[in-house]
Amino acid sequence: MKWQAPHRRSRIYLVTGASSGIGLAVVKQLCAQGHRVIGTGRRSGTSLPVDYPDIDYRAVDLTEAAAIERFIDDEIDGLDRAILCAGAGFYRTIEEERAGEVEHIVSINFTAQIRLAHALYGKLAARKGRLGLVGSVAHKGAAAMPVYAATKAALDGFGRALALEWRDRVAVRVLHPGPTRTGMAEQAGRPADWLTKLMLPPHAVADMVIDGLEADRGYRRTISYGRYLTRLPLRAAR
Amino acid sequence: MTRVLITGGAKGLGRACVRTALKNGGHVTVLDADASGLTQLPDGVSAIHADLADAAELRSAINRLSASEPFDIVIMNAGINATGPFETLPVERQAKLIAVNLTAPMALTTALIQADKIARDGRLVFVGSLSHFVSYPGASTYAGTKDGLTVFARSLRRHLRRSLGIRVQVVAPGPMDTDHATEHSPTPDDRGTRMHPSVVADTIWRSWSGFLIVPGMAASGASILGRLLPGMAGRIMRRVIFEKLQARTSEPSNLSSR
Ligand SMILES: NC(=O)c1ccc[n+]([C@@H]2O[C@H](COP(=O)([O-])OP(=O)(O)OC[C@H]3O[C@@H](n4cnc5c(N)ncnc54)[C@H](OP(=O)(O)O)[C@@H]3O)[C@@H](O)[C@H]2O)c1
Repeated sequence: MKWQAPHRRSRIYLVTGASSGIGLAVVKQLCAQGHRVIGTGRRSGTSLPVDYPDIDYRAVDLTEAAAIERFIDDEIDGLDRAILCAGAGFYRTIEEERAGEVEHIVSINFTAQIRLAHALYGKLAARKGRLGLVGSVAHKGAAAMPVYAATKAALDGFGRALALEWRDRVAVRVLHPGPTRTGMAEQAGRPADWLTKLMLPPHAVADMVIDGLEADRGYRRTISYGRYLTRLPLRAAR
Repeated sequence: MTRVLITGGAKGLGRACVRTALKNGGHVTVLDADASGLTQLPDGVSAIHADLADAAELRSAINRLSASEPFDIVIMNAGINATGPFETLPVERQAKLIAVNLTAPMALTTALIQADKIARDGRLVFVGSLSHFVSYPGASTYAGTKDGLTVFARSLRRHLRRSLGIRVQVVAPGPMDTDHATEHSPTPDDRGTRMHPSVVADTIWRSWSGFLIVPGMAASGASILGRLLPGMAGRIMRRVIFEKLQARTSEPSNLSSR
């Protein structure tokens, strides 16, 4: 029998938020590594970037409970890994927040992840799979976006407890990227400036998300600039 | 007179906070989903009936509060729990838990601040949980909501103090002798070792300073362990809570009686 390095084995991945930003970069990386990828985003397949990789893509609004169930029943058979990147947020202080929109942010950043974890459990457990939740360094608190920070902290606390519950069945990892150059910040209401140039490149974050999910221990990993810099020589050597 | 708003004030810790506030001469408004519990509140307490899990009821509660006088103390206490292995708990119950424990207090806070309903030098107190330090396998979604609420408070703390003079605080109680806590405990007969809600309520009332309030020696000790050795605290919680809940769920007789 020929020996194969474990990370070379082809796996089936589910990636949410696959239409843009970090999720899109994760999809590209996984395709390049030869994995099978099922991707979802909110926009329709016809509005994807022209160079979008050739994967199974389905438009699903993750704030709709029924849509999540239908999608998982129809599209997902065997599954080794799930990387949940879909999320949204606004740079709004409490004075600028809109009480009626709090629910939407909680719904996409937290409730949807709970529904997905719940619906995916059986499939992941059957193959000793892994669940990756993409949080944010804002999970420690952020005055400029208290509601967003709260949802990411909720995801972290949920992931911590779930990792303990599923210890021997499905590994759960929460991956917290620092500011990433995906356009999310502009969308969230932070104008592009010189700081934007200092943000992490999405492909590097994607790399660290994919690797972080395979970590042996520790449910949480922060994807910081420091970690990026120390990995640069490693990347060059590959 | 100190004006106090307490969510979830009909039962448990919220009810204890109502008593403490009245004892100290406060004027109390209670917001709760429990209509019959509201009728049993002492005289003089204003009651607002609203199910915080219902977006329309939440909106009308916000409208009523926006028309009232500013409050000196707001205690965001309303919360529910669901315990058991995550994958066995109905997901709609977990969605409701998120609505009550996380969405509602954030939406209420937003509305109160924007309508200027918290007095200068007033206090905004969120009821979190000791699980923020030690985790809570067997109530993963609940643990998430309480961490979310704690970090929401942390995000507001400095900003509200500076701009409006409001003091934001989080109280992180351990196991209490309330219906809520005993119902969700793997060992419901351990009431003796639990903190009485009136003790926690008094601690909240007295704590005019500090951000994180951890009432009681046992809970303080656990919070310190959780901060120093989070991994070990999590493993202990898995053993003393989750594994017992797991055993209970696999006994069909107990499951049907709940
Ligand atoms: N960018 C950063 O600086 C940064 C830092 C830390 C953490 N993060 C986190 O990383 C994740 C990805 O962020 P990003 O920067 O890549 O943002 P992005 O480019 O805006 O991508 C967000 C993705 O989520 C999807 N999405 C949003 N709402 C959805 C819904 N209701 N249903 C289904 N899909 C939905 C979007 O789909 P459509 O575009 O098709 O609508 C898109 O694919 C988020 O969880 C974010 O919180 C980002």
